[in-house]
Amino acid sequence: MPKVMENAVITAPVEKVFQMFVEPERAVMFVPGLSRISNVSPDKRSWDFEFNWLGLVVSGHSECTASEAPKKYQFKTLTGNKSTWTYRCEPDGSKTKLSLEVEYEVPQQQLARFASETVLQKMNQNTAREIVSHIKTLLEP
Amino acid sequence: MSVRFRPIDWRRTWVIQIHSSSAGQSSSYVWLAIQNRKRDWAAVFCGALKLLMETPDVTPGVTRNVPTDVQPQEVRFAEDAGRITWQRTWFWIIIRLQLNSFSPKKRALIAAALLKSARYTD
Repeated sequence: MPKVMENAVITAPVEKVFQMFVEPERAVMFVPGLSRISNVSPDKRSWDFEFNWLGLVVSGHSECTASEAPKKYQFKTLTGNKSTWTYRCEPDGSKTKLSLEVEYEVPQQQLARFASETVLQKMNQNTAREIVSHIKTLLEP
Repeated sequence: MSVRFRPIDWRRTWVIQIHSSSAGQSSSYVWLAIQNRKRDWAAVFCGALKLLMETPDVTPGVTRNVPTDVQPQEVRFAEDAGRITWQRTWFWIIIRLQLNSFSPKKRALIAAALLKSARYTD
């Protein structure tokens, strides 16, 4: 599966950075285009998501596959285009090194809508960059 | 996962930004929400602020000679550096966000997150 990766050093303790991921609803605050997280299970291990780009709606179901506080948080989108999102937090003094890795399937019928797999890769790379940048912005003063 | 085109989302609240300005350490935004159903705006904004790791403080309206249900209300956060006020009128709700702290990028991100919550929180 193709994957994209982004990193940032955040001026915040590792526990605080990890807190960003443990509430699934919080993703709406920093993931571009993500409009709703609903049906979150009581143990916060599964939820439904909905992206909305000017009326184009993409929805599906996700499950958390690893939550190792405060180091690693991973979830998978289980319906349609499967993807695996892994956040890793590593303490660096009073700062935290955050990395986001997204592995995704490229379905051929949807690929036709984009110019090429390279364009899709670029879009995903930009999204990952924005997500990491937003987390950094929200956590720093 | 489903992909579909849905130009009208009936669960969504129609909120448009009618003004924004930024100068120095402050930014202000004015939004207009079409009132299609009764909504607990304090709960909407407090929920969003908690997700933003802020501690909201709700102040009920106290304007004299104004019925309770159209009293202006506000939520303060970030040690009063952030303030959201809203007031119901006959057809819409005017929401004002004032941010007097944070970097310009963070102010813009907080405003975008609160606007998203105003639109999509059920």
